[in-house]
Amino acid sequence: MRTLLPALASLGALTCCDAEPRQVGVPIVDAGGTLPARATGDLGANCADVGRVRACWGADLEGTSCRDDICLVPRPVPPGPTPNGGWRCDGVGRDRACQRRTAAAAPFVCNGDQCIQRHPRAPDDADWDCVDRFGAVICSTTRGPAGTVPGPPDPGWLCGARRGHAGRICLDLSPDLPDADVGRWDCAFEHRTGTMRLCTRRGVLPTLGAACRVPDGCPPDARCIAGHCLPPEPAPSCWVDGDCGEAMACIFGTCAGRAP
Amino acid sequence: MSTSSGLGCFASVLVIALPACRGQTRSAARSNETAIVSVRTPLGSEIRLDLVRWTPGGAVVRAERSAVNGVDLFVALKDRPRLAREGLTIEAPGACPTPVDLRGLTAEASIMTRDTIPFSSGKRVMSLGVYDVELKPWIDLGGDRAQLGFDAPFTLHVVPGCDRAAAGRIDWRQVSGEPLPELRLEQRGFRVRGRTAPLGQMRPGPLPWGIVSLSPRTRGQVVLEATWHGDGPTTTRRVLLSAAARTTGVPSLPPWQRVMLGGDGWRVRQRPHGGRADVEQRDGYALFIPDAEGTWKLEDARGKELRVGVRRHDRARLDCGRSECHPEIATAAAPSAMTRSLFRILEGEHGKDVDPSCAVSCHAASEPGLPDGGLWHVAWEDDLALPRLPKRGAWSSLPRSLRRVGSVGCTTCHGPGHIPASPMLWSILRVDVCAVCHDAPPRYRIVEDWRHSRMATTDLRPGAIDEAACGRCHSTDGFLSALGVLASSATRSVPRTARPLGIACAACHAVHGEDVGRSLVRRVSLPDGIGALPAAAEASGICVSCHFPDTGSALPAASAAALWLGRGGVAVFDGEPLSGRAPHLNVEGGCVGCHGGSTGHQFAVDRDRCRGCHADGVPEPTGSIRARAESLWLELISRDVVRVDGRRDEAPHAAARCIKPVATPEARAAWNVALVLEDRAAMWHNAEYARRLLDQARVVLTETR
Repeated sequence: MRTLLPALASLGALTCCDAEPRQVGVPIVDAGGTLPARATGDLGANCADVGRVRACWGADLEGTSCRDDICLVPRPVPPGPTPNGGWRCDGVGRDRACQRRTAAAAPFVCNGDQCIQRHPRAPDDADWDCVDRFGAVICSTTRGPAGTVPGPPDPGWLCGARRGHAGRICLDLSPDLPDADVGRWDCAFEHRTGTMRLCTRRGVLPTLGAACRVPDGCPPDARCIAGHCLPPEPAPSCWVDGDCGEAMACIFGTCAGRAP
Repeated sequence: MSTSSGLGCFASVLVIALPACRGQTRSAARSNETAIVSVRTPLGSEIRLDLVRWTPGGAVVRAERSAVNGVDLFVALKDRPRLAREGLTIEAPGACPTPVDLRGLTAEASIMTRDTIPFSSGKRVMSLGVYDVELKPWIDLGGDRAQLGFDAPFTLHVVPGCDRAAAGRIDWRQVSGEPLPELRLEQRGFRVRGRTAPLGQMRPGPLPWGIVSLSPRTRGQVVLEATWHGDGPTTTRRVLLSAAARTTGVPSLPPWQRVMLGGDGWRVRQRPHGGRADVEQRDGYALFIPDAEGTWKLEDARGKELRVGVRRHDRARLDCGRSECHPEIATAAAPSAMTRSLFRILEGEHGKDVDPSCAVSCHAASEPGLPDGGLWHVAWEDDLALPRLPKRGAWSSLPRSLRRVGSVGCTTCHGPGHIPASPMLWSILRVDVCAVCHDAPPRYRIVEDWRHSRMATTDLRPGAIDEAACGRCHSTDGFLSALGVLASSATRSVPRTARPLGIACAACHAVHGEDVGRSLVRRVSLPDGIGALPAAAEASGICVSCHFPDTGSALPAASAAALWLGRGGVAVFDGEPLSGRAPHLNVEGGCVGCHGGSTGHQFAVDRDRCRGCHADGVPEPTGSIRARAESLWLELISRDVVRVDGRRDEAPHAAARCIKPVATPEARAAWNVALVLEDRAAMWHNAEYARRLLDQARVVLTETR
């Protein structure tokens, strides 16, 4: 013990008694921009985020959160603090992953109740004409960009060929917002001087994904299911009613009959 | 050491050594509190986020590079008292140590249950917020200045990032550009005053009508280097100062770019919505800064109109390839080296050590320091940054807003505003468009060399563009019209006052057309009878297209390529093509194998290249071939085979015409002699073939005497 203690003391002197703990070498890793967020509550393969909730569509779906073939399901996000701007998620079931919204689109710059997003999100690098409609963004294009190397498509969009026309229609049911308060923002794209997105805070608005207490608190053609406004099953293919033909209307970019 | 202190150290060894030995935080059966510290740096700060460090050690359990913006540090807060006492300090090369105060943690926390947590084996994670931290550069020079003005005073204020930096001193030196007229240091180098060069020094001579083009060489661009000394690592930073932004001269601009107008009495006749700017008269030129997007109509003292389209680069539509517009051009330009210029750097195709931030001004639509909606400006507006080091996948990780302006695309050359009105369509053909990047000596001397070549003034010669057949090889617009690249020369009719354009870049380089796969050299069809060029000389097809005679004319208009190829002559009696040996045909690089190298786009002969074959030296000119050809020519004149209408010292195709019928021995003899006279370097291109052509002519003249 007499020889052991001084030896231990010396060891302590070397390692602890006077020194700062040395910095633990944590290498900087590249997460690749996305983090997993498996949606184990998805019902089938036809699911998407709507606002800050999540919905699945399909015939004969059942459950307390289902009605008219639409179900409200859990919307998981990656663990840890929510990044500024929130999470943008894509994929279904175990394949679902999320990235920071600001990784692919500019942040909002706000002045009181008015916010501007200078470079809003778009399905890909082409020129898109986009509109906001009750909390969904619907975009149309005809051709890819000239004079640049296109990057990968933006995640989270639902896209399809436009009926009867060259080009594509894409639908975003969970667009960027200045904050997470879905249902209080009135947004619109400004195309006159170039594409920007303007959002103004207003009172409660009928909005996809927003909470609803009464059936008519939802946008036209949406349904109040499990307390949230959800759209009918999306299948983007139209820009205007005329794309759909007789007796059908273009509802959130999808040809469908109108809701009763 | 006493037993008690030994026991105390023994205890501390036991307690502290465990985590240090394991190298990670203890896994917890209880909840783990974490915070994300998002570390960012100002655009262009050169702070090395890939070398970021933090104290105390062990606080960070995961460090993750976010896609574009910086580094996220996942901080374990279990050691609350210590972190509350010391905070978290973050450092990186080039930055001041930055403390992060984590004491203000609230009890409001979202407790989430997760099955998989990347940095903890616990099942409960208490999230306590995201903290944004911007590292301050050790010294901040404030970024490049794009528009200081000519002969204008400027002041640079260096902002130290912390007290230690402020206590040092800064030495300055100019590392590039014309020496500044004056440079004064104050406050231990933290303030610098100087004056930019006058316009006349940078761009001597009369100014062209309309928007005056400016390149890196003529914009009064200098680079100053600041070196900080003091209690800390020596730190060096550079800043680029320019009197004016680069301008192509095409009347299609971003807003807030100050341009100079050549001509007199300019005024704004019509403004777009929201525009208020006026023209400011200066001595010998006018200044104009469009302050709104849209179409501006300016007019000079004589009422001549100039329409200027103004739009930010990021707001310009990129649908030029619509089916009713330019689908073929868009398709052809897609794989171009210019379209992929920044892409290739970011993906590491130019090597791993290339810093992408160096490429912003010439590999993208961008003028650093200018609010033009270009790459630099968008990154600044949206708080983005280019990846610090190239790597595969870096392009895809860029936000869409940067990718759309991250190439030398349509708006980079044609401008982000609308297509110029018809009277100014020709402006895109000028070398000035390319000069905004390729006129930056000492590194990029292409345009400067070209201006010293004869190609720069080919359309100035009297009569050179009077006819389409002449304009085809004496002007860029004529050449491109003859190739069918331009629909009609009339749509890009170049005013005489705007010449010379010369044979400019767009003639030989297909920036959005078919090229030979090297330096965007245009691919053209070769004249009949030549056949294919050897692979080593494939790019010379563009030279041959003008420097080989049109065999349908009475006298050859050019012949250097004919001599080089050993073709183009005719047998005087039967009119059959006369071919000979071509000793220089297989020189690597073809024409530019000799007419290039150290002389670049001056196209002068680089005699060092000759030594590869002529180890004993290149034969000096004796003048015998030329003298013989001139003698024969005089004899042809005296015999009324040819008649000289112009000056005798001009090339035969410009001054003479053949009087004899084409299919006669005398006319053929005139053709062969003219072939030699048209090429002042006949002796070097192909002396043997030249002598043979002259021998043929001599036979005719002897027999018909």
